[in-house]
Amino acid sequence: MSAKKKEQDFAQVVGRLEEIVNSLEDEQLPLERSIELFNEGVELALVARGKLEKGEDKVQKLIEKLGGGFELEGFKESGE
Amino acid sequence: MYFSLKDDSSSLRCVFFKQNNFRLGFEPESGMKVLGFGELSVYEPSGQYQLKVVRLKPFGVGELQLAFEQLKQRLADEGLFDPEHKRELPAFPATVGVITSDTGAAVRDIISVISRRCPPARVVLYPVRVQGEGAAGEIARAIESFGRWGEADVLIVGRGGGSIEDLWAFNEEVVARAIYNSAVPVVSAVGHETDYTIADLVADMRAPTPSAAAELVVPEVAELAAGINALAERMTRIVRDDLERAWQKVDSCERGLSPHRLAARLGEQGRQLSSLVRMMATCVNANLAANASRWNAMRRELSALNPAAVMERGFAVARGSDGALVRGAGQLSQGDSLELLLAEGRLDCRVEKVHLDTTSLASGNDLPPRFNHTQHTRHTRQHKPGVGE
Repeated sequence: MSAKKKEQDFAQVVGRLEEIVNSLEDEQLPLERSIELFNEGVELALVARGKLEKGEDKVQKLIEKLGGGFELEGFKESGE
Repeated sequence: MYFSLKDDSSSLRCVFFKQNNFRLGFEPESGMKVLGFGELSVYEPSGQYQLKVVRLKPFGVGELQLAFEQLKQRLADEGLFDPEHKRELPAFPATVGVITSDTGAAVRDIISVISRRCPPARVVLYPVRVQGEGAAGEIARAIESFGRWGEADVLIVGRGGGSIEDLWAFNEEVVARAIYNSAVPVVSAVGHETDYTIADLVADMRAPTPSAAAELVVPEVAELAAGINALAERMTRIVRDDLERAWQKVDSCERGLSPHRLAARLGEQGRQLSSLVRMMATCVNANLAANASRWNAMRRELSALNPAAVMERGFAVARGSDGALVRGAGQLSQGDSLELLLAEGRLDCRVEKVHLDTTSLASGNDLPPRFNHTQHTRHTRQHKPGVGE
């Protein structure tokens, strides 16, 4: 389930970042609020960039066990 | 035009040259039953027999084609292809489930496209047979398994190109229903450019080839990164401008706060303040004076009303034997006993004689000396408020 969480997180992170940029652009915010939002936005941008950057080799094979559970196994392509 | 003629047990390669097929009159389709006339020859490079076709006629609708059309109609009527049922693909899937053969070019293409476009995405393969007896059942089961596993964000179901028989598993009802009922959005990727399989029609999205499916399913990470950078730049620009404006405001305020102007404003407000303080002091004093004289007057009135004070001046309270106050001589008869309460002590008495007239005090001569004084005080008090205020 953690993989699923991460996917939602990315969309949420970028969504929140867009929200921040839009309210900075469209609303007349007090300076303190602008700076608060800016700090949050910088955090979000870093988190989002981080999610795009991990690159271990991640091809796996889904194996269904007899009991009904699942297991992952590394997958090597044959014929290469 | 090159094609093969097949029946249940055999296959014959055919070649149909332009000079013969220019007046064909119909578009041959895979699976179609045809009647061909020609000359049997040998294709020398491979040593295979082939039929050089000179005439080709449709021979009814091919049996597979017919079955396909019928199933397609039935599933369409049931609503399996309805656009409302189609789900959006996730924008940034963390895990892509792939259902195909683990040996074909399809799986290689999918893995290479995903790892190039979107390195953080995980590819999880569920290997299945994609043609022949039992393939459709395996594909359908794999789709259900991914649903139960729960970690895949999107599925690619497909295989590389082939003949209509090779692709047949993707035209079977069990696969169509598994895709329709899938818990995870499905992209079909059956390498078959011209015609749609049933799987293509049910899938949430159809890709013409496995690599095309992989491109549909994962975003180009470089583009996402550029998007985030653009957002960050917009944000920085706005806040920098805000800060710039704020500094300008501070500057202009500083200029406005010159010591001379400050002193002028303080002088004016200082004068206002001290006159306010004077006014307040006057009010408070006047109030205190008014309240002091009212307080004295009230205290005097209270003491005049106090029965103890009245008795102090020589009056007595008479109470009958039943304890009731005696206000008139008529309340008692000769021989009745009564009690007189005095400022100091009390007397038990007996009535000698009853006089119903009230002459004894009428002249006022016997009034205790302070009575008049008290009446006078009460009188003057009526005018006091005017004095105190």
